[in-house]
Amino acid sequence: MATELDDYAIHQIVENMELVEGRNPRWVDELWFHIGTTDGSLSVAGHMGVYPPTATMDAAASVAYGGKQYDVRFGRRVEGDRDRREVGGISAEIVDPFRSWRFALEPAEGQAISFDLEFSSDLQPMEVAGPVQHRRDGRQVIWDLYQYSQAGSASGSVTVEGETIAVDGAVGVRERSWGVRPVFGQVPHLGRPPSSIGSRSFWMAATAGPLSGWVWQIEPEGGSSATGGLGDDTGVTRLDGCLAGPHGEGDPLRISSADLDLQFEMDGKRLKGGSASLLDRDGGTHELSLKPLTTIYAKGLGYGHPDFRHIEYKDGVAQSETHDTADVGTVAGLVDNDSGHINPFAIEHFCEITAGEQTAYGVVRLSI
Amino acid sequence: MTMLTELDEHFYHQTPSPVDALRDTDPRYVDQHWFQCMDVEGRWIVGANWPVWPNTGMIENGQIIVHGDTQYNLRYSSTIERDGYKSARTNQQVGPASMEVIDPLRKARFTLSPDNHWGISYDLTMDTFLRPVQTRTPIAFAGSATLPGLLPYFEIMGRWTGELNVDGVTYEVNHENTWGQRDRCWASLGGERWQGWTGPAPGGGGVSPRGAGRIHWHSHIQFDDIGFWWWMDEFMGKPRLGGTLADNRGSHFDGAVTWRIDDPRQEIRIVDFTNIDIVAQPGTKKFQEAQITLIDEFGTEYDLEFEIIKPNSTRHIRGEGYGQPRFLGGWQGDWHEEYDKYDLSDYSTYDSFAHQLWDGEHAVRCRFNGREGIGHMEMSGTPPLPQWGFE
Repeated sequence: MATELDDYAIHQIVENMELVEGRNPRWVDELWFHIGTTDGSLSVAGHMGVYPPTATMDAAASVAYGGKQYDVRFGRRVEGDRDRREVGGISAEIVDPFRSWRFALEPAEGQAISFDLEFSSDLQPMEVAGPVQHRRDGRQVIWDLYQYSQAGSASGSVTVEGETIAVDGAVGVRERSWGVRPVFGQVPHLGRPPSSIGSRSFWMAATAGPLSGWVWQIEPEGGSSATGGLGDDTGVTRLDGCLAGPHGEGDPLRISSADLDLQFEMDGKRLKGGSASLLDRDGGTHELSLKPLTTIYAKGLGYGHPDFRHIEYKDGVAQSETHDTADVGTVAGLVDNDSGHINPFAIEHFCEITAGEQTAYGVVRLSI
Repeated sequence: MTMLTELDEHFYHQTPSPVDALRDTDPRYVDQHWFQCMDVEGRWIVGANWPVWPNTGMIENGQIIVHGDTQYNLRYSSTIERDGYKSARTNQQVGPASMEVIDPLRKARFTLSPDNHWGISYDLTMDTFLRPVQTRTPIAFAGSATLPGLLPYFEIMGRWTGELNVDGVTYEVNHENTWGQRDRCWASLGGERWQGWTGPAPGGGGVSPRGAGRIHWHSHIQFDDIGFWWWMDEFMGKPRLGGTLADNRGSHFDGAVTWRIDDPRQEIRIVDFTNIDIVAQPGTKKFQEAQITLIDEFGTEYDLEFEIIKPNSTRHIRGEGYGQPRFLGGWQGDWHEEYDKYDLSDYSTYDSFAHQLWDGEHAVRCRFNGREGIGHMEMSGTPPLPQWGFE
């Protein structure tokens, strides 16, 4: 049946806007963001996804502050309003496409956090060179996804347990993606869960002044020195990335190789530091040194959470959790893959990234 | 070069590609607005189509303004130029014409500035009066079995406000004096253009099946408290297939009874019809009057009668590009415009723009159970139809 969206000439297939190509139940249209203060005291991350095949929309937010991670998660039913970006107390408003978004979490009884943050950017979105595609065992499509990310600045305020923190001059990155996404393991009975998507997934987006960069590398199990795109399913290391300047100023410059030297904490999953050597298509090299400032565990956003499964119908769900991230046992639980979820972005670090004399800030997302 | 547009910031993707970069590369893919509004006294009719062809990077616009006994036509075709992150798929602009959806399903605005060959201008806004109706199934095209077409389709009936300036006359448009409808469809479009690629098609390749003894009747009928929409392609005396518009091998039919947009009653589907009669104007094949009995899903019958408001209260859609060899998907350079006009009072020229019986989009007065209304009747007939005097 026609919905309001059908009144716009925006169709991509000969179906009503409530339907998507192929009807894969793991279809998602999603946003994610992570905003951090450059003094390393605060990080705020958010997720919002709409799943047309299950008529479900969910959203979650996590705040890392004062040695704790605070999480809230909501779900609602979609009824002809898949572009209404409001779920529970979380909203995501397009203030000016590709230039400004507003992310907000309303305060609520029994909820430790709230925020109202505006993300702004004069920088181009950094788009995948082609769809991210991956088919496991020749059968199950794990990924068939389009994606772009954007880096910028953020301001506003965050309230944590009654303390309101003014945010000004913070750095943010955000991502939009849509298509079939790997959530095997979270939704039961959707076929045998693939064991993994590779041995390591490294995703980074950052900005310094009028330049931003993005790189995503997925290394295969068993290792391979050959490199292909994110849609290359032949067992090579998958890589995509680019350097992008301000809006309207040339096309992004693609990254052609990434040599990573990463050090990890004792658990082997959290980043301790490291370096990345990137080669761009014009032959330029970019030597980056990474220093994590804060950490957000993506399970708090619902990625791999055993009681808050993305995609699954969960009208009216509202959850709130607080974790003491100084406690080793708590962290072990947050990084444990107890749902069998295939998540390439299990841990998020807001990082200081130095390149020679220049200092950038951005986010590294990791899965080992 | 990126294909990202402002549309990709929204949560309404249907494929893993940017909204403006379809995964289905079918060059026949089109997403279209269309409208027709009618002065209830029959002084004028205005209508236009707005096809966007994302896979070939084109946007078109066909305009028809019927004023008195003259039909003015304007046809525009343009390649879509990138303007930053803007998309041409919403708030469309082609030459002097523009359109925007102000409030989806409730309000849309169509304008024509006077810098066109005929100097006609309008600024017309439709407020939805009756609840929108969608076909029960997408419409299957009568084209080739190997290159079929498919068209989801819904329609909205409403009342209009604004102004029309034509032939030096200004008409004030308001809810009382101007009724009409608009529709939305998006399709992998079959049609005449593709028949050369695919060989002969049994149905003639159009949106509707064609052939001898067939009538096409597509109507939007409004009263103050109730509305009717239906689409039929009927091969008279032959069985109907399917019962929806999804089977295009022969006769098919779909329809609905709808209520005012603030009326909580559910729509009722029309599933059958009977008692058709169609009368041509004396000595011509031009439409004069008709009647039909519609039958709904509960067996209720609705007896409707129609009469054309004035003898030439008809839009002939060849004027907005239908049946034109190069319009509706044909590339004509980065910018192309055409214009012509039809003298509707000169019956000797009628065959040049209206090939079939009762051909055209008629503005009609309607009667139903003591009610008086206004409607749109898209109609054509293919002889032999001896019951109406056409062998």
